[in-house]
Parts: sequence; structure tokens; C-alpha cells
Amino acid sequence: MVRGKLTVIIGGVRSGKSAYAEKMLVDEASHVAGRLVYIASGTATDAEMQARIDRHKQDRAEIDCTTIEQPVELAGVVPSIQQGDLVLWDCLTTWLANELYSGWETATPCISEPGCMEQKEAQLYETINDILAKTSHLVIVSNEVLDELPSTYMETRTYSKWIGRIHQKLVAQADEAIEIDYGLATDWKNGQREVLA
Amino acid sequence: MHIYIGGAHNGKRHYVRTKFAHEKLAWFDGELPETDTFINHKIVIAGLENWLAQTDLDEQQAIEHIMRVQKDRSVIIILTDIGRGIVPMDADQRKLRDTCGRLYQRLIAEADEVTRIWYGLAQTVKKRGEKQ
Repeated sequence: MVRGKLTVIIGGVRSGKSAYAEKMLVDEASHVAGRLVYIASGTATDAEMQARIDRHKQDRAEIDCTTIEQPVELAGVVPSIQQGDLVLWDCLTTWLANELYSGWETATPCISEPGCMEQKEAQLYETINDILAKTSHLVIVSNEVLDELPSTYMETRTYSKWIGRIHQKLVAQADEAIEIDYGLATDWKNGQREVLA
Repeated sequence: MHIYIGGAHNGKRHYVRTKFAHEKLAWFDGELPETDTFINHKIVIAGLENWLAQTDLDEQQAIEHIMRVQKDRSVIIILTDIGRGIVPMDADQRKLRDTCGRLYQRLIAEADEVTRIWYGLAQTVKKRGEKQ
């Protein structure tokens, strides 16, 4: 069984990374067989977030794709993935926030439970491998949030540590690791650069 | 002087530790090598933002001091990219960013080599003697 291709796309807020990722898979779907599957991890916690999600949905409306809402426990998507699917996960950063704070309703958020996030991290890498065993291409989108001085807030520093660690691990495993910045997409694995349309 | 620069938690220290695994490294994290000890070592300076945050020197003196300390030595400096976050309300926090930014510009101008680290991967940004 051939392992699917893994692409990691990391860029700042409003850098056009989602559009870039979508275009990549839509172009690919036009010449290979396979469904386009979109894994959405954002949850509407307020009206602005709802509008943001709606905007993303609208952008995808013209595309023939299957959407799976999966804010936590990414492993839940694996049974819905079919052989040869082209999968886009948007995005890792919201998933991490959701996971770190899951359990807050019972006053036991993962972020304050020793070993909790370590377990979820290991599970995440396993799930990504499970998805790659079925799909021909998995694209993971994430936010660049680490180009500033460490936060004065302990929980934000914990978040930063985790996102950095997971980014490093995924970039190491990826076939393509693309940074979106200054209107440019740079693939750090093969040095290619592309100006965003 | 060789600079490694990148965002926080991007694996800069790990990269340097691995790349120079066969050399004697003397690490200074949040402090400066003020004396001439460690002559047979490559000096690694990291956490300059922490040193800046606690020094009593004013900005100009602090920058000159750092430039003096690294001069004529085999030095690696690890810089954490700090320039792309929200500008904070707190005046001291703003000042620290300004000072860091100006120090970084000065160090990068003087560096023989600048390498950017992005999640464990490296890219040469500047190398003296090579066409930019």
C-alpha cells in the first residue's frame, strides 16, 4: 500500500493559506479520481467566528466536496475516509486549542491535566498515519503564531510550546512543507517558490 | 559570527546542538560571556531578549556591550524572531521589542552568516563572500 502524500501549509492570519490549500487539491482532483474531503475544526464560539466559518463554507460552495466537522478527536474522521480521497484539514491551530481546553465544562481542561496533551499528540500522529494509509494526499493547514516575544500568559506559552513542537514534527514528516508569507508560497522541502494569485 | 534566527519553539537550539555535536560548545542563555574563558570553545549565545529585559544599561550601551562581547570570537548567536506579533499595551514590553529589533538589525548587518530556522529546517539568508 502506497502512503499518501503529506503537505503541511503554515502561514499567518489572512495570508491566503486556506485558499492556496483548496486550490492545490481542486487542481489535483481535476486530473485524478477521488473525492475532495474537507475536515473542519473550527467551532462557532461567537458571531464573528460563525461569520468566519460561513465565509469559508461559501468559498467551498462551488467546489464539490464532502465536509466533516471534527473539532476534537481527529481519529473520528478515519472511518469516513475512502481510498484515494484528497483530504484538506483546516486547521491544526484550532484543533489544538479545542483539545487543550476540552474538559473545561467539568473543570478539568486537558491543559491542566498532566500527560493529557502528550497522549493526544501521540494519537494525532497515529491518526495522520491512518489517514495517509487511505488517502492519496493529505493537506494540513496551520497558523504561524510564533514570531513574537513569549506571551506573559502561562496558558498561551503552553499553547505556543505545543504548536511549535507539533509543527516541527509534521514538517519533518511532510513531503511538502509550505510557508505562506509576503504573498509567496515557499516549499522548504524543495526550494520552490510561487507567487500567490 | 553566525546567527540562527527563527520563531519561538522552531527547534533553533536543537539544530545548533546537532550541527555542532562534535565541537566544544559553551552555552550562554540569557547571559553574556563576559570573560575570556572557554577559549577552545565555540561560544553560543541565546536568549538575548532575556538579558536585555534585565540589564540596567540603556539601549545604546546595551547594544554596544553585546557587539563588544562577540567581537573577534567564534560566536554563534541564536535569535528569536519577535517582530510579527500584536504590539502590547505595556510600555516596557513595547520598548523591549524595539530594542530587540534594533539589536537584531545591527547583529545581522555584522554577521558573517545568517541562517533562518523554520520548524527544524534551515535556509541560508546571508553568507559573507557569497553573492546575495
